[in-house]
Amino acid sequence: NGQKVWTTLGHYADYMILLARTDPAAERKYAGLSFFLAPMKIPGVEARPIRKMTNEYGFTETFFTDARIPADCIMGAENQGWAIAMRTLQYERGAEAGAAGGPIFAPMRVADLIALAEATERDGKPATEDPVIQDQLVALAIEERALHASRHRAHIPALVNERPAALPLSEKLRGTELQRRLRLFAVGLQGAAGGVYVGDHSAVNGGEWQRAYMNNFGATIGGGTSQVQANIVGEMVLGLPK
Amino acid sequence: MTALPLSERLVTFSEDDAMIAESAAAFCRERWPVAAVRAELMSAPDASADGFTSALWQDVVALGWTTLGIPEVHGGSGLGFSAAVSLVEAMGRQLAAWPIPASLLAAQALQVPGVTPALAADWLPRIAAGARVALAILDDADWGGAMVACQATPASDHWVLSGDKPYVLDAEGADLLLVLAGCEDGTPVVACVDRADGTAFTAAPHTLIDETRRAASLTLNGVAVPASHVITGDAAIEMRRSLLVGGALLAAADATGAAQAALNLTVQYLVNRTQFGRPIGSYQALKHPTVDALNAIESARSLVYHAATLWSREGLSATTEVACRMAKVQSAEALLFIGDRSVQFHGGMGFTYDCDAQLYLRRALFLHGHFGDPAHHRRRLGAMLALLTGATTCND
Repeated sequence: NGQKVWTTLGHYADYMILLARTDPAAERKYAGLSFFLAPMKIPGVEARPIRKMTNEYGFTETFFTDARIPADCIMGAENQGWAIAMRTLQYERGAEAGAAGGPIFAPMRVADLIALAEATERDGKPATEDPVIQDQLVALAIEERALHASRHRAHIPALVNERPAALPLSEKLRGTELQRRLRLFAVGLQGAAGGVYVGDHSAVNGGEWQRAYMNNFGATIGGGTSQVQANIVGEMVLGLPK
Repeated sequence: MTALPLSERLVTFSEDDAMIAESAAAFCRERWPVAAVRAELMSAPDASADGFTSALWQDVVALGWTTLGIPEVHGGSGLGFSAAVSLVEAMGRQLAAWPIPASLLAAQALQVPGVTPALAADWLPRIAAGARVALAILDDADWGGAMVACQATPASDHWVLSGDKPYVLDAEGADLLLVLAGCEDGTPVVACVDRADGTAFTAAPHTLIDETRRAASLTLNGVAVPASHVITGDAAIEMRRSLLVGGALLAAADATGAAQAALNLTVQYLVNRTQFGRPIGSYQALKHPTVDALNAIESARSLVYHAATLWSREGLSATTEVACRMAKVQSAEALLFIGDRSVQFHGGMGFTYDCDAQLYLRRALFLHGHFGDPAHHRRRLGAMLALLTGATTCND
């Protein structure tokens, strides 16, 4: 009995990852949880779609009312659920995020932004010729290059020996926040067309940038918000006190 | 990512590179603690004229630092110029300002095609052996200037230099100088001035904001330089490019090293200082900007080593130039940010001369403009937009 939120594709799925409290008497908060691959199309399980700010769907709130989950749906041992959940979060939050998150996390590139700027007119000329726009593109390109170079440097022990956890633990924070600013810049570049949305005849690239910018909040909020990530980096990488 | 061939990785670092980095870090830590830094600040009572002793310079040379990027046939080590990045980073970390960059940049410039082989064969071994070098680059405060204000007039078998060259680091102790000058029609020349020839010029010391360094404004009045030591034409242009872009990379390495030290200083204070009953690092108003600083510094470090990787792979190509400029922008801004925040986060103490935070901030203020400030490089990168995104893989 109870409810879960942000069940990805919950209204389509046959099974879901379900972390449930199986020992209410457990002393520590993280003990007493079990990890199930639970069936969804059974009596007592109801998946209600959540409407994202983008006017799209994709997540549900899932309500359990006297739902009977078969015992063989448990993964690992009873009350071992927290350790297993943490492992799955590693796949979601780490460098493999691209695999776990699907197209919502497909990064947009500065190269695409430059192509957009080339195709956009400002004062009768391509926006790439506007020095103010140019400078902002340069700044984003530097950030993007740094992000990519950091991914390569992270694999060289001699170049990360002082703070080996810095790059992996800050990857999500840096990557998702760059995407936010990159996408927001793209919307701002479009002039009046930045004010229309998917479905409008004048929408640039079908309104893709607008949709991508708003969807990006799924990345800066979900999987540990940017603010929580900053705390984690500060505490675990720099050793700053909680 | 390890599936990518070495030639496509954005950052590589050989075992030789790692050895150089480790030994440089150890040497700088041992020989240049903060006490040494403070003793050699220009305003310190017993500071050396050069900011370091000749004994120290001899030990630096003995380590082989001045042989990087010089071929073995000229007394060099055969290791590439880009290995210097680790050396300069280690120096930056300890706020050292020994004139290694000038030596190595001059050595690179002398190997530009078109430079007289006899000149290179004369100077490169001397540089490798520890001759002191100074680079007289600027006409004035503008790193984007033409660098031709110092006039070079051809005579029979020599040229005559006349003009002012300000902001010349380590000018007074220099044995060899590379002087950027210009002909009457504005075309650039590079004059290689050997103090052993008895060349006379006056040097008026600057009062730099970074007291760990020394610089002077030189006045050359009818200085004669043998024709064999003056490079003109395309070679001069390429030498200048090598100095300016290579200089930006080494300045970026310096800033990156200093920034890491400033970050460590700041973190230490945030952990130890308590106010309102808690260590101040627990307050997010301090914690989060410090994380921002860490991220900026890590980005700078990645760009510095990325640029070094490209330099070692393809020399000073257009893509290497892009990477060097990016590194300079990011590292200058990162050091300035942490230097600024370090003073602020040290509270009342941070406002004093005795707090080490000001040492990093002053270095930041100097390095910000050195070899071109961020706006200077961003403008040039703006003209190279097509090269900024390259073939970088997004998910590796």
